[in-house]
This record gives sequence, structure tokens and C-alpha cells, in this order.
Amino acid sequence: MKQLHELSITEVGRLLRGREISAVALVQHALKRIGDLDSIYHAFITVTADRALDDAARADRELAAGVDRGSLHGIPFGLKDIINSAGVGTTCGSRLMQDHVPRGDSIVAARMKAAGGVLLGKLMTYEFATVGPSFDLPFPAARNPQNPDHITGGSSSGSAVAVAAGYMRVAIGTDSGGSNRGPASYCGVVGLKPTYARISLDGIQPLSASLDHVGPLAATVAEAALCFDVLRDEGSPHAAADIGKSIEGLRIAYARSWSCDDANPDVQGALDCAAQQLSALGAIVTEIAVPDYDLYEACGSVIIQAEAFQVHRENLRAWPERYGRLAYQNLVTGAVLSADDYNNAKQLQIFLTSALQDYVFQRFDAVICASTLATAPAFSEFDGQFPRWTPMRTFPFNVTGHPALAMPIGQSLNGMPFGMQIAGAHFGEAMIFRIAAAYEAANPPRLRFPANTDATDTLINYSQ
Amino acid sequence: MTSSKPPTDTEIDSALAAEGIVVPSDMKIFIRQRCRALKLLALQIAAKPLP
Repeated sequence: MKQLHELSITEVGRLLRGREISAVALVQHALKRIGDLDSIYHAFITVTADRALDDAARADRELAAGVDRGSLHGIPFGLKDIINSAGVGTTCGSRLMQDHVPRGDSIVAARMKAAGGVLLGKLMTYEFATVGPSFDLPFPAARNPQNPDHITGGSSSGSAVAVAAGYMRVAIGTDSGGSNRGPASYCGVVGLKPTYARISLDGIQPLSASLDHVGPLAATVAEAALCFDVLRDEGSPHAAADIGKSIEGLRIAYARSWSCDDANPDVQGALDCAAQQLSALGAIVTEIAVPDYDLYEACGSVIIQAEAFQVHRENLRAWPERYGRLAYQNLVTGAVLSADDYNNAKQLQIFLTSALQDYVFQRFDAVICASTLATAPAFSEFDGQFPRWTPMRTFPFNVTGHPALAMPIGQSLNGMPFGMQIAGAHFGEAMIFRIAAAYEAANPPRLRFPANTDATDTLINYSQ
Repeated sequence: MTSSKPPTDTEIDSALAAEGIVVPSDMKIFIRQRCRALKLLALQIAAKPLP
């Protein structure tokens, strides 16, 4: 027996199409969990309950009439609150945008809806996708479902929580330096940063045009792939198509030098173990010396701060008091960068992209490396006065535009999860999903969804 | 800011003021530190000729 939220999108889709459950029941179950649990975890800024129930009822009517919109028909999802959905507030987690209601859908919202997805609401974000957790915003900071005394990471904090808390199987987040992959690793879910520009950013609040990406966070690799296939631009091959294929003979590089001196021993040990497991599954895993991580960090830092300052320049001057302390202190630093500084960093970006492409992805099918270097810190380590960044190894792939997926590979003795990244060549998402799914099949996810008060009323006797 | 040396506090304050950025007194030390660190990264990038 499983609860509804423990079933994958594919399993639920089978039940929906067999008329064993309704989309309305699915949404009611999700809303019940949100009502019971989200006063603890704070994933949501806006819950669109009435609208979701209406959309679910329409999904049921359509299925009854033989209209099947596809893989997400009747499936609940959420959007990070910097992603527009027509008629629903997009606050960007900021006082500055608290009353902003976009008229139109972002491309990703439109694609999720066209595939039959049912929007449950808008999800917490670090203010303008910058830094957190903050304690001076109109919205409480999201809390980690594995232990609410710990942070979620960010900036797609609510998206990771919504999946890890069992409100939905998939949520959409954005990632300019690790904002999908960091929270995914801290909360024990899967997070994807796709190839640069492979999914349209239209209708999404920009942070850094050179580094911004949008992609799914999901409970499993297959569900992330399914969602990616809904979101990606037309004309590219299905990324989920290779899931289930053997990884025997694939060449996987291991960028151990990016973490071995700095990572928590539990994380490094699990990474080494994951490399061995991929080898046992038939891949040819080779430890390689990759370009210095600090170069990517420097390049990405200059670009993101210069571009974010330009995005916020007028508002920082006109409405400084409407920003939270952390975002404000972070955003204004871009004022000291010159055009030469920016142009030099953009030149370095081109070089680093070529270096990774030529040195790694011409020789290997994928590279594995650390995601976060430790588990999610406790809230007690953050006072909300000054920005503090937790160590991750996600930035290189924003700089180079290569796709990268974070997936859980273990947990510390305190029960907090951590993950690894699998990155591939440009447009190589299918290869990443293939390798990740093979690893996941050998190490089934052990996501611990928090229990709600009377969860037994939604038990489903599911058998394939 | 185009100097090849790390900026002084005065230079950082001037750059922020030139952009019309208000720096509250309780944020001043942190913002100066971050600005200097960021500018140092930019200077390091400029100092390393690409192959």
C-alpha cells in the first residue's frame, strides 16, 4: 500500500487513465498535505487551490471524453515565484514585487499547462533568486522537510521543499549558479540545470542573462526527465528515451579534485562510492584533473554580479528600503565592476567553456562531481544580517552552459541528504538521465516524506 | 573603477555613490569587503592572459 504522493507521475497517470482515481482527488490530497504541513515547511508563497481544483475537474472531464493532453495530464506541479503564470502573483520573494500579477504565462508555465499539468501555486524563492535564508521579507523562509531546523539551500528553496515534502512530484525552479541543484541535494531530490538556452526563459524574472537556466526538480530521475521533455524547445530528441539502457562501456570522468580537499568526509566518501558503483554497472570511470574550480567561480561571480546589478540598478537607487538586507548587500556590489571587468570575464567564459568541452566532453560521455560539499546547515548558523554562501561545486556548468543534474547519493548520520552531479556535453541531457537512472535503479531513492495528520485516508493499493 | 590595484574604501564608497547607491552604516563594512573581493577576482582575471 502506498499513499498517493508516493506514486510516480507514471504510476498516477496509469490510475488516472484507468479511472481508478481522479485528478480532483489528486489535487485534494495535495492540498490536504499543504494545509497540514506547510505551516512548518513554508514551500508556498501562493496556493492556487480553487484554480487547481477547477483545472483538475477539467482534466477529469477531458479524460472521460477521450482527450489526453499527455504525460502530465492531471498532474499537480508548482512554479518558483520568479516564473510568471497568468493571473497569479509573481512576487520574486520580495516586498518590491509583492503586488505584481502578470497577465501572461511564461513559456514554461504554458508548456506545463499544455501538457495537462495542474498548477498548485507559486513557490518560495530567495529574494530575486539571490541569497538567503532571509528573515526580513514578507514571506517566511522555507524549511527542510528532512529536518525543519535546517535550511533548504536556494534560491529554488520552495521548489525543492514542495517535492521533498510530498506536495507534488515535480516543481520548476531556476538555476544561475546552482539554485536548482543545491536545494535538490540539501533536500534529497533530483534537480536539473539543462543546457544553456535549451528551455526558454521568457516570462521569468532575470538575474543574469549569461547564466540563468530553468529546469525541473523532481522526486526521481525519470520524473525529472519526463518534465524536461515537456519543457524543452521543439526539435530536440526526447531526453527520457534512453532511460533504462545499460551504461556498460560509457566513459565517465570523475572530477574528484573539485571536492576532495574541501568536502565533508561523508560526502566525499559517498562520491567515491558512487564512482565505484557506476564502474560496477559497467561504465569506465576515470579520475581526471579538471581546470581549477576557482577560475570558474571567479568568472561566474564577476558575470553574475555585473549582470544582476544592471537588472536591479534603477530599483536599487529608487527603492532600497524595499529590498531585504541580504539581497541588497549582494546586489549593490556589482556597482564596482567596470565594463572591462565584465568583458574580461565574458572572454574567460568562452575559454572555460571550450576547455571543458574539449578536455572533458570530447573524451568522456559525462563527468561526475560533488554538488554541495556538506549537508544543509542548521538555521541557527544564519542570522539574516549578512549574506553567507554555502559551498557547492555547481557554478562551472552555469559558466559553460553544459547540462548538469544533481541527485541524492546518501545521507549523514543526522539524516540530512547530500548529492552528486552528473554533467554532460551541450544538449546531452539524455545521456545524463541515462546514467542517473542507472545509478538510481541500483540505489532506489529513500525519500522520507513527512507524515500528515490523517494520511491513512489516501492509501492506494497500487500494483503495476 | 579601472585601477589595477585592489580598491580602497574611499574608491569603493565613491563608486557606489556615483551609482546613487545608499549604503546604510550597519552594512558598510560587509559591502566594502564584498566589493573589494569581487574587484580582486576581476583583477585576477585581467592579469591572466588567455592562451
